[in-house]
Amino acid sequence: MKKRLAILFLFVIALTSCANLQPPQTLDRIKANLECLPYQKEMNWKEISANLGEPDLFPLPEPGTDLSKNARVYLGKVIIFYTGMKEVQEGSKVRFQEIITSLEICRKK
Amino acid sequence: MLSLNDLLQKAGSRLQVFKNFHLKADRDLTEKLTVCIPDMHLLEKGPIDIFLDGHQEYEERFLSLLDFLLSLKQEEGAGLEIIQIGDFFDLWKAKGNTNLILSYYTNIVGLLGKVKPQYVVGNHDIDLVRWYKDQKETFGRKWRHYTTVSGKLRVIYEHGFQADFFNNQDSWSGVIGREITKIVGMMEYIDPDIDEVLGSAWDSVVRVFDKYNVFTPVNDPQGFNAHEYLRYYVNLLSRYNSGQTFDHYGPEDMDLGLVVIGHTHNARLVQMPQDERIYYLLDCGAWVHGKHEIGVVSGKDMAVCQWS
Repeated sequence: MKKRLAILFLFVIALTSCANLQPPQTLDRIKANLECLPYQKEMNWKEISANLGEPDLFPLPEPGTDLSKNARVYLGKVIIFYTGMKEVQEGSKVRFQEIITSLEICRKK
Repeated sequence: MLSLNDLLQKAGSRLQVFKNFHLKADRDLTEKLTVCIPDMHLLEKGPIDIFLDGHQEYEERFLSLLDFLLSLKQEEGAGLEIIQIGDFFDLWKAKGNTNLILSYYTNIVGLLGKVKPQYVVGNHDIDLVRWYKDQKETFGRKWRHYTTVSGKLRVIYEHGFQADFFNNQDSWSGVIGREITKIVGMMEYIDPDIDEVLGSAWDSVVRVFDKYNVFTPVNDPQGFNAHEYLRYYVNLLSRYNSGQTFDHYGPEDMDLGLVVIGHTHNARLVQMPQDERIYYLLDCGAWVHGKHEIGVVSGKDMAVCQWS
């Protein structure tokens, strides 16, 4: 009886663990439910606001400026970082760092 | 220095004297061509943005004025002074201080930055500095600006709400209650001498503010009495000229004859004799609800002009 109970317990544990495991997904599949905008340096703010709507938070301008330097905050958005490897020298040795090569800001469809 | 006529000629048909609001003083008022841009009340281009007022062409018209001023600045250099006379932004209604307004009016803010105006603070944009008191940041905003001729002060430029304080001491919680709430905490910070400038009015402000701390928002439309403004400012000029100031200017520095304001959104140019001389009040008008006026002072000339 004890042996049967132990087997049943292990079976339940194994079953629930498997249910929680996320199957691997491709980026395309993840992005299927998102609308994304690639970030580019010096892109026009209007592109961001047209895609993401009005920001949730808009802090005060930075002191010491002519009011033109601002920050805008979106809550609950998805950010996708694209990464790559960069070779660096550490003394006489070659090493590698993972760096951000591009960025996408996304909202759920 | 360009004269008013030179300016009108350079601008061609785009600039005209408004309603014959043109007077000549008996002495020079400025040593530079001085152009004053009154209330704009910029917001985020929504339905309550009274600068745009639903007409994109209003922004285009203002941009054409800035284009003209920028090219004039490049020609005249220090011979041209531009003063934004307050209420550049309408922070009473803004969604997030100046932050989002900037994103809707990038050209206006950028061009104004290039012509480098003097910024006088108005009651609707004094909030800009509220959160920066500890850092002593004013973003270049002044309580008041002066111009001088031969070392003597001749013209005061301020927004004009200061007269409201003086003229409505008996009804703080009524017509201008909200203004007091917004402004009183910043007044001394922007102008440490404000208590002396306003005299007994300042004591009333402080007393009432201390007592109630926060006022009921105003329901009544703001009432303006044109004569009260004139009387307040003529008395102010007279008082300063007679040496009744408590700031660093002595009577030998004073020969004030003109005050340039905005605030009321109603352009006018009026004069009043007092102390055996003539004092002037130039209200530049506004750039809201389709209005398109500027104040111009050059030498003895003063005028309200319209830009088309």
